[in-house]
Amino acid sequence: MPELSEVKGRTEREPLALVAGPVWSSFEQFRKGGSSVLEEIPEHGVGTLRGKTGTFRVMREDDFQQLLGLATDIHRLRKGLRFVLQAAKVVAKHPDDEHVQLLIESASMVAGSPVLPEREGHEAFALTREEEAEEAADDFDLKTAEIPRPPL
Amino acid sequence: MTHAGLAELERKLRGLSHSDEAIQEVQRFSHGLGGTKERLATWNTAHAIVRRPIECGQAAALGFNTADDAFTLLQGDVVRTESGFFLGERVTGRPKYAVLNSSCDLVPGRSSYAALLRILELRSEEERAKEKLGTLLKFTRRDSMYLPVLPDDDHDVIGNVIQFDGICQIRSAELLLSHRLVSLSLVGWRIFASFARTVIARANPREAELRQAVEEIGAHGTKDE
Repeated sequence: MPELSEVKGRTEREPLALVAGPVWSSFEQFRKGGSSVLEEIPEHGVGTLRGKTGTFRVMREDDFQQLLGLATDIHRLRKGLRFVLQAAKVVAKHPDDEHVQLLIESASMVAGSPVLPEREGHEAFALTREEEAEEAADDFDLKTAEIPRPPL
Repeated sequence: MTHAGLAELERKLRGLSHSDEAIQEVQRFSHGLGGTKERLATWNTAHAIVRRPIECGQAAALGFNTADDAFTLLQGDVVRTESGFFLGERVTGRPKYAVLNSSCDLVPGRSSYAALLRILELRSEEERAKEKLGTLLKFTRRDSMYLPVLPDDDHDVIGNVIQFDGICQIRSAELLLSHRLVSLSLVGWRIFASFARTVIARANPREAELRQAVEEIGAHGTKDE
């Protein structure tokens, strides 16, 4: 079986490590603190807001998207596990060498892929040689140019 | 329906179904702006291509408040999500996408899956950055639409590209929870649709001739193989 580092390939990112953040015991406490209360939330922190209508968690958008992305992987894992369970049921009914081998192979498939396939971001935009040549004569200077950010 | 009727329908559709007139219009406009500097000045102004996300409440206040008007996302919206898949791989690292589906498909409960187009970033220090920016601002690539640098882009990002080559998938439920960055302006949305249409229904003139020739042979009694 390959080592974990080999299987991981391109995806060397740290796993999601959420940490506990501040706790606000009422919405009033949260509101009175103004925008500075959000600055109290540490990096990868999750704040807790307890109100009359329930308890809410406050986290940064990027952490939320990472968490949601990981949750989508559950669907992929469930498919693999369903396959192993079906193979186990077949072995229970027909415990011969052929079916035991099927169970071993299906379990190995899941165990051999502890990291689900991921890619880090999108690739870079590329030009054709003709496009490069066509633009080469452009006297636009990227080093001194100001690239305006559209105000929204 | 007679054969003559179908032929007449084909003739009427000839200038409509595979027309790339819309994208040519965009190219003509950008060409007429002048050089790279002038094109940047035009396409990077407020509401030229992108604008603050259009909110349902904002639309409702303007009278678009029937049940059919409700929306969470609109076609062409730029989002960040780590729940999208490209060729079976989940894309991590805060990737950006443009929503390809029509706005009416993006209502909760309407469809299970949605299609996303990748948005590639152009960075100041990457190789041929100037040439890439210049090419994109002319809108000459049929598979790549220029987008200006967006508010939460890193400081070294100088532009973005909606990549129409390769479609990603996402479950609609997760798309509705994605981080919405910008919507397209009205003209930006029309440019986006011009690209989408060109990518799906682009045809080499030779293909129309080829198909015509094959059908004429069939009509003259030669058996199609």
